[in-house]
Amino acid sequence: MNVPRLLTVVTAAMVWLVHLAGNPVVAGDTLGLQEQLHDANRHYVEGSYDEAVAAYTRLIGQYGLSPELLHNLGNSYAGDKRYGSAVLHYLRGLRIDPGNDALEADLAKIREEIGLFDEPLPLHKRVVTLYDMNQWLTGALVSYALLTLVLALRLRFTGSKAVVPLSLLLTAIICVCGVAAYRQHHNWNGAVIVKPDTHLLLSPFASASSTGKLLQGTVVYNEKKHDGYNYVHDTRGRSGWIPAPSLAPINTSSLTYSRGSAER
Amino acid sequence: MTFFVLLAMLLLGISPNAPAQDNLSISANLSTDRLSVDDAARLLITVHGAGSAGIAIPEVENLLFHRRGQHAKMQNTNGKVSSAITSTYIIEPLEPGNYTIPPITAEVDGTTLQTKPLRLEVLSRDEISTNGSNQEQPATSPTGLGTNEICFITIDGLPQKAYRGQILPITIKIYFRRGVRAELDTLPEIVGDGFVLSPLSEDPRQTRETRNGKDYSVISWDSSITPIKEGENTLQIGIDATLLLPGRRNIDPFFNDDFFNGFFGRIEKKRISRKSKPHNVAIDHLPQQGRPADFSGAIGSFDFQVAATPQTVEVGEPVTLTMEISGKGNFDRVSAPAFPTGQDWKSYSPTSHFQSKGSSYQGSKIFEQAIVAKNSSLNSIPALSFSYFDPERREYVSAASRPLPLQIKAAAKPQRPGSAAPGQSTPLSLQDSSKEQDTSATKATPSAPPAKLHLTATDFTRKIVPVYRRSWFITFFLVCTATLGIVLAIALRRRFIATHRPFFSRKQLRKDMNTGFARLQQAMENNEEESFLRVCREIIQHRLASAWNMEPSTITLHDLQRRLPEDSPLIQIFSTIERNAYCGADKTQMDTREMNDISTMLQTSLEDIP
Repeated sequence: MNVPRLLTVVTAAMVWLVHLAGNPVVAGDTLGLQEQLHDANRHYVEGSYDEAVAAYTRLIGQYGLSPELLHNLGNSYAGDKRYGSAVLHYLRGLRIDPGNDALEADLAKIREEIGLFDEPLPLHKRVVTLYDMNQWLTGALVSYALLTLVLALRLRFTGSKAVVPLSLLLTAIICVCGVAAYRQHHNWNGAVIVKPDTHLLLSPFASASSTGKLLQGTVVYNEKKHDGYNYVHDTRGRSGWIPAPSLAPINTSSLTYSRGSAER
Repeated sequence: MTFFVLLAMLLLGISPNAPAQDNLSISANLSTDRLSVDDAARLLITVHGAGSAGIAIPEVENLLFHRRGQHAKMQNTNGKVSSAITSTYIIEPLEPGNYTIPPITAEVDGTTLQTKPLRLEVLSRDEISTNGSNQEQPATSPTGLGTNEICFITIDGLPQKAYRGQILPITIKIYFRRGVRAELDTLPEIVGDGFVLSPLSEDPRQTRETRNGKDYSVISWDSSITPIKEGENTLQIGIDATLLLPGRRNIDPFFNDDFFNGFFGRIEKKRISRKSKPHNVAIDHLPQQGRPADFSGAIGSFDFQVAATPQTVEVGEPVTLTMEISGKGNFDRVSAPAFPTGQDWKSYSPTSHFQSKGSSYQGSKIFEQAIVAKNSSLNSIPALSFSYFDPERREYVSAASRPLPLQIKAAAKPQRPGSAAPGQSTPLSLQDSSKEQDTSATKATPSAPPAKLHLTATDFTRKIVPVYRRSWFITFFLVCTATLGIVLAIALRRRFIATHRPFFSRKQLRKDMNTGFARLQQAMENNEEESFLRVCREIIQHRLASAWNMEPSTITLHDLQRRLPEDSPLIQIFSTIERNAYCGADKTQMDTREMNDISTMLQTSLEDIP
């Protein structure tokens, strides 16, 4: 294939894909959305947090997940002192819009409110947790695209000395992003404790002895399930059985909201 | 077995029916004439004076007969051989009642022998309990094989006195006679309401033990019980199990042998319920005298340690207080020592986790609590205390930590804008300035909700999925991979060509020559002399350039004259071309035949070039 033509095709494809990526699903009519959002916000401002929660939940069920709606819903839960659900929705918002300053600030504030403080992490873990899995993977993909572009340009400009160091640099970035994304993949499937007084149990029975208590808003990771109980562990290494209704997965779909089960 | 006895007798030259007919007799014995509906009795039928016998067991309603085997005995006394054959049956009652087993007959060489009728009384479970005949220990009858002997339960490690709420470690053992196949239908459970049993593992320990000279397979659990009622309480552990007994067969007498029984016998299931022997435990209440105010119900023997990190903080920064309570006892009643809050400290709810040392009553319970200093003048974390009741010493014990040194600096940085301190209300109003608004309180709330509220919503998505599952990511990745593949293929091809240049040069030359001669042919057909000569020149230059490793355009007549033999037709052709090209006056007019001759000559001459 002609090299300039190849470069043109690749660039066009990338531009199209970037355009595609920047246009996620938009559902429903904007006017209806605005009116309903205004109503939901009014409930919030009036301090009717239960009604605000119901209104935002309906909106998400109807139009889809949006960082703004999830943020408002999290605020409503926080106003209603359902801190676990507030943390859950802030985290869901951050999944869609990683690095959102407002969401991060409110999440930090609510965690402080309920006494959830982050453990000091070693340097490599701090680096890995700078971005979430999606961000690391996007970084790896962009580096991969650039590497492809550099190697394609090398066909045209054979004498360039910058190609080798640039290729090595991009390869290193791909490796770093890949490793970090792999490490963050574990955190991707987390769940949040949404019920107060959740005890870790020795076995999956109501009569089982408690081995500890988890604050609502704590992020835990599922290991197995048994008859209405989930075996979980948290970032501090605590593990045990907890009743399934006590936790809600961070990853969700708008379908769960349309069924009226926002905390599931 | 009979089969082998017959074989042995044949080898010894003894007829199976050698004993005199007048010595024939039959007897039947029951291991017990009174048993529970959950038990089984053993029936032994012995035919004296015969090496084999056809025994017919009568049918009795609600009694099942399970054949367990047959053995033969031979005696040679002063040359007189006597023999006896004994068949063993297990009788399984299905219903309580009084039963009479009709005479059992045995056929020996046409002679029919008959036993006396046997009586059997089967009691219900209630009758057994009333009579107190449900024992923990196996039946002691020398011939008996009741299910009490097949299966029984023991409880080890139980004290005679304890306190309400105290954890009592016990070992529950279920004994099954070796060789008996059984399935546990339930895990051991407490019978009665004075105790609570800790959840048992579904994977108990399995060992073998010998008791009263008999071998048992033992299933055991190390667990604990907690007394919940004061006074004299009786503890019993019960289980339900299913015994897998070999069933009765009605097939050819030749196979009526233990050896074949194992292969062809069907399995019959018998459900049984078992209880351990009752144990009496006196349960006392904890003394009121000397009970500390912070006592939360912990009973056992504990150690208490406290640590704090970091030890240097600014005012408002959290310190993590780690309180570890280790030892033996009822950890579910161990709660976090209360942190003294007030003007100087703010404390948050503690979290806890239990690190077991093999059981739920032994290990460490660790509490982590965030505390925040409000005052920079503080220099230590106050002492904490934990109280428990020690059942060995029969007294309350209060373990106290020492104050932990802490360096507190005045806050250096201002609080983050927009973060309201807990308990402080935030202004609330509706403004639409920048898609977000500060909310102001129309009513005061004890703990203000976060301040930002979005008035528009964008970036809708139906599902939170990892980016690698999104179509744009996959397509982008595939496009890049495909492009990279193409780029690598092109680069490799280039390298290959560079490595195999002579081969590709020859190939290219052949291709160029073919193209050149095609153009030559075209020029001839069109009778275009000028074009013909130009193409001839190009062909010669191209071919010779390849052979002499020169640029085609630099090759002149002089080069040809210098490097080719004098009589080379190429020199003549090239000279003609030069003349026609540069000496317009002497230009020769060529016809098609001449052009054809030149073309043929050119082709022949070029083939000779190495």
